[in-house]
Amino acid sequence: MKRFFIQKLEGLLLLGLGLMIFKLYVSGHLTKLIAPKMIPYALTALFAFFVISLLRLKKQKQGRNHCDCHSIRESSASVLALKYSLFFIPIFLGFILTDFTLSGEVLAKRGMAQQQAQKQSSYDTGKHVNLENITVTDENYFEVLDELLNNLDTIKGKEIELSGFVYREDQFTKKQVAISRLSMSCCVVDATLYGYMLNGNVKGMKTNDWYTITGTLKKGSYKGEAVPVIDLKDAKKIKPPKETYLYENVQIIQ
Amino acid sequence: MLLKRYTGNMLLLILLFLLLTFFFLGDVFIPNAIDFSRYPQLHSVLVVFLGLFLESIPFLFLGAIASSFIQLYISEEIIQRMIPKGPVTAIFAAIGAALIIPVCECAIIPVVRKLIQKGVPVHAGVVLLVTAPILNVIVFGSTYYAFQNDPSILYGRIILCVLTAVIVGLFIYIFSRKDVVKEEKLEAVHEHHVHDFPPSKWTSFIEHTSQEFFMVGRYFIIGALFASIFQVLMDRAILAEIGQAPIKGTALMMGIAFVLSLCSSADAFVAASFSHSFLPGSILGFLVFGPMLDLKNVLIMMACFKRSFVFTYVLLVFAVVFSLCLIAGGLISKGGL
Repeated sequence: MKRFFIQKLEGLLLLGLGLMIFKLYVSGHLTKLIAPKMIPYALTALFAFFVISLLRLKKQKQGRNHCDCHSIRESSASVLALKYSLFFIPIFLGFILTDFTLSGEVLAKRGMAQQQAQKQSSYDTGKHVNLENITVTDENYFEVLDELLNNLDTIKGKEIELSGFVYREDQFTKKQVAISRLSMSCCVVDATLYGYMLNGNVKGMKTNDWYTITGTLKKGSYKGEAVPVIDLKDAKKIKPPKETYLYENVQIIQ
Repeated sequence: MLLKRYTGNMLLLILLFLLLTFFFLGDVFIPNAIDFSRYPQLHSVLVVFLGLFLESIPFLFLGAIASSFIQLYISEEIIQRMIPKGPVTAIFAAIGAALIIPVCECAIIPVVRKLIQKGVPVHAGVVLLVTAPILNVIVFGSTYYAFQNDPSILYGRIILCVLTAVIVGLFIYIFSRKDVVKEEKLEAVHEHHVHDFPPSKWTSFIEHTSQEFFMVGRYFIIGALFASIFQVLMDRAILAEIGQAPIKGTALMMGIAFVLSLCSSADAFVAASFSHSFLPGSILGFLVFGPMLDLKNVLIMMACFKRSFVFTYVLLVFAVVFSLCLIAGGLISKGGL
């Protein structure tokens, strides 16, 4: 009898897990939690959950010798209920959450990633840096950052335009913010913050709001490391983009 | 009996109703009722937890499938024939297997448990546990990419992983006990009926996969919850101050790797963001220890192995990785690697 109940309960939970992934996928929230390269795995799991859920919920023939492995024999009904109820946490979270941004104060604890200037860049060096006006997009974000770090002494006075959200740390002065992006390689757990220090009249820019800014580049520092810094010329508030994250693409063969 | 069955069914129906209500309407009325922006830290913990869960769940499930497959279709005789007799050859065979198997830590633990039950020697199983998460192409690729300017990190990661596997494997071979797996008695029931009722294999495969998944999954959920709390509350800036001391820094980085519970194919990027404040030896500690042991997989191990074994394994792996990283750190700073 208990075995029967457990079997149905497992089927129901698998159905719930499948529905949760389905809902996040359809609403487009899934890429705010896991990187696009992980999505095929999640969708395969979704499919497998539905199949096994159906098989578990289907009425089983009686009299068959079931396997009684693991917890089924040892625990009482209430302990069992508690063990299974843990699975409702992720299911309901997936159903109810609509906002998946990490809060500003949580990000401040992580700090901005301090990229090292690469000895050897894998891109055509100078592709962006030699231009007088640099426009940063999602696609060239890391290329530009890399090149700027490699050519810190020659970038003074160049124009740059980029979008990102406002990030602050306690040590920042009133005239300092960072215009930043989050990047993930597998899921939100490894989210890493990249950004440019921004100097100027930034008082009115609220933490976590998105802006498109233009400014001039110069060499400056963040936590003792030499980094490109932007002197703010103009800032325009924008809506958060659909894809708020950058995704680090690992090319295994380079 | 009849009444009990009735309540059971009622309960399931209520659950189904709740599931469907929340599926369709959860994001409509709950955000109105609870304003998450007032609890930014709690909200971030929940988001990080859900991310960790979604990232790992396909692999947990894959692990459950593989484990059921071994349970039902691979006999002990085959395994006996495949495993080399000598401990050293067995250890190297396991390292070779780890290179081929493309899975990381979430999936490998239940598989190793099943393999040990089927007669694979414990030292070979442990080598699989240690090496499978690190020795695969995806991890090599991301480590190379994240540390382009410092290839010694990639080489160091591979070499230290293999060395750790050999040392831990030999140690387990000399001092191990055979009965390391949890709840072995119940499995006997299985063997019996599998041979008696061959037609029910498919059903028992489903049953097995599902039960294995839920057993491992609930430990994983607890581990993931703790890991997300640490993820959100830990202030990285404070860490930087201790970073330059080789011994303290290495221990600290291993501790961070343990609580953050990152996936081994992603941890190199996070390690790279630490690389300014920590010495290479400490970074290696993070990259080698993290995939072998972290909050979530210690809890998964608790589900699969006896507590005393998990305890020995944790201490052993920590001690070996720690000393190897100190040596490697010394070598790198002298320019030897």
